[in-house]
Amino acid sequence: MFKLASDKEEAILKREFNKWSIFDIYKDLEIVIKIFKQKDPKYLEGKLDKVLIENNNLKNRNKDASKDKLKLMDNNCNIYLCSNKEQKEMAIKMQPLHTGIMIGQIKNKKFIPNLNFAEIIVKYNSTLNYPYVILENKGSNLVLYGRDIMGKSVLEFNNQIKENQIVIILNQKKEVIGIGRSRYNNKLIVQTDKITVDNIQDIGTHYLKYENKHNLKI
Amino acid sequence: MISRFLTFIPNTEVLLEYIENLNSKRSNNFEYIRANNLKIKSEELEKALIDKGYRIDKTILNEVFKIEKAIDGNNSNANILPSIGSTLEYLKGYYYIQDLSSCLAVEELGINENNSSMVLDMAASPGGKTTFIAQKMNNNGNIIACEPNIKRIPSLIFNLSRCNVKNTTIFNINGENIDELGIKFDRILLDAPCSCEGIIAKDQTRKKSREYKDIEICSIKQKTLIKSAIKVLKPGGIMVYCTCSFAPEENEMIIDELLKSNQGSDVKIEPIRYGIDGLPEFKNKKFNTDIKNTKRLYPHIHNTNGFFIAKLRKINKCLN
Repeated sequence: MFKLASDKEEAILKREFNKWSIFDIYKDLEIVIKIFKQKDPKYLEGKLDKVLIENNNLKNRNKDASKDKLKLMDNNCNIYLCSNKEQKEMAIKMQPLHTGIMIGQIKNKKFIPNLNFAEIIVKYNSTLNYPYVILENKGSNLVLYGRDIMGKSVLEFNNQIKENQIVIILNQKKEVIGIGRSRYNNKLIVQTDKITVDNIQDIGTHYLKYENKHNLKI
Repeated sequence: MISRFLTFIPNTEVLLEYIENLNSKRSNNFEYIRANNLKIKSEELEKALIDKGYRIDKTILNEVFKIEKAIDGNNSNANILPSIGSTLEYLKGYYYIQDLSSCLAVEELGINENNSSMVLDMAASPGGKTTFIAQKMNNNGNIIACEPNIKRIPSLIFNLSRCNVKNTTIFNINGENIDELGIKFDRILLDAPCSCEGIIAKDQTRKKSREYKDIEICSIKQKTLIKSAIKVLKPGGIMVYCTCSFAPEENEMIIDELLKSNQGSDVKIEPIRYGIDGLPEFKNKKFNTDIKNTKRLYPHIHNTNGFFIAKLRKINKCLN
């Protein structure tokens, strides 16, 4: 269901825009959110049972399981960016299947950016004062095939990168080619013969998956 | 099915020869691409692709280029070039692989970037024409994209996202029920579901995979869709009806029947710049004289897919 962001969700989004130094543009954006129903994967695979047993919660097992499931459904949402106010109002009033472009998700009170959000950051923050890595050509091509990033592929990076942090992956033309997660901090990002950034999402994977699916049919 | 072509396609033998030639030179086949000006200027894209080793030719539209791998001895890298659908530029959404004929249909909608139009794309997936409309509007105004087949919607969403299209709202609704939305539109594009005879040059299975029965089924659907579209078009608004089919049953006959119906007095057929005039008659049946304003595009004459375009304007009776 499409709706306006609540105060809590707005706070999460503003914090994220601020983190990437693009807070100034937030007020001009037309944002709607869509609550999505996600089944807890742990619950589906029977892992939740195991966790609850381990926590000695046998007594309240069923009650806790349904509570956890509901909590996920309430808190998780996709964030969409519309072109104008009219479009935003239409989404809330008419509940279409999709509107605008999706820029990320809020899951368990955390914002998870996607490639469209990375494009916005690169467009509006030309100072590069956010976590990023710039890759040489061969490394860039490998990222498009879903590969993680070796330290030797990194030509340039932001000095303030911390371990386990979301970073934007750029090619030599400073175009967004993916989003990754750092395994090391600061200068350790460039250590050779080690994967230093994990590939979370890249512009190639989605299309290649689609292409392979198509080929299989033939 | 091909034997039918003799009755209405000019120089049919040239068309058949063209198809054979295209098939034998498969490796050096050309495609059309449309630069996505929401992400890159046409000139910048042209330069980037030439630098990579592709041969680019301009077309009648500024955004559209004819592209092929330059296998002419000057380029030793031609064989290792990625296919045009797997370059970095494609993945970045800098261009869309789209036939010139489809782009001409959108061009006829007469959209400019400064208006705040409400535009309807009645059968939107996979989003080629929708993204071009958004580009023409510079992401302003609103596009309503309808797609009845839920399985085709992911590719539509993917292409809108890849091309940075923000002004589009997608409804999983059948075009026949479009009036249920309660919206009136300034522009409507009806790229009607059709037998796809026009892509026979690229997909030779079309020679045998379609029967006359398919044309009849499509024709019934098209008649319903066009009438539903006219209902939700604002007075003075423009609708472009197009198909990638040669069959008069899916083209001129649909428009002719619309003109003969109750809604016929509400619309007029406007002239189109490119292509050959629509057929004046078929199977001894004469069409409305305004049908000559519709246009046909042929592979062997225009180097495009076989295509039909009709531009209809809803008459503003208050002004008359």
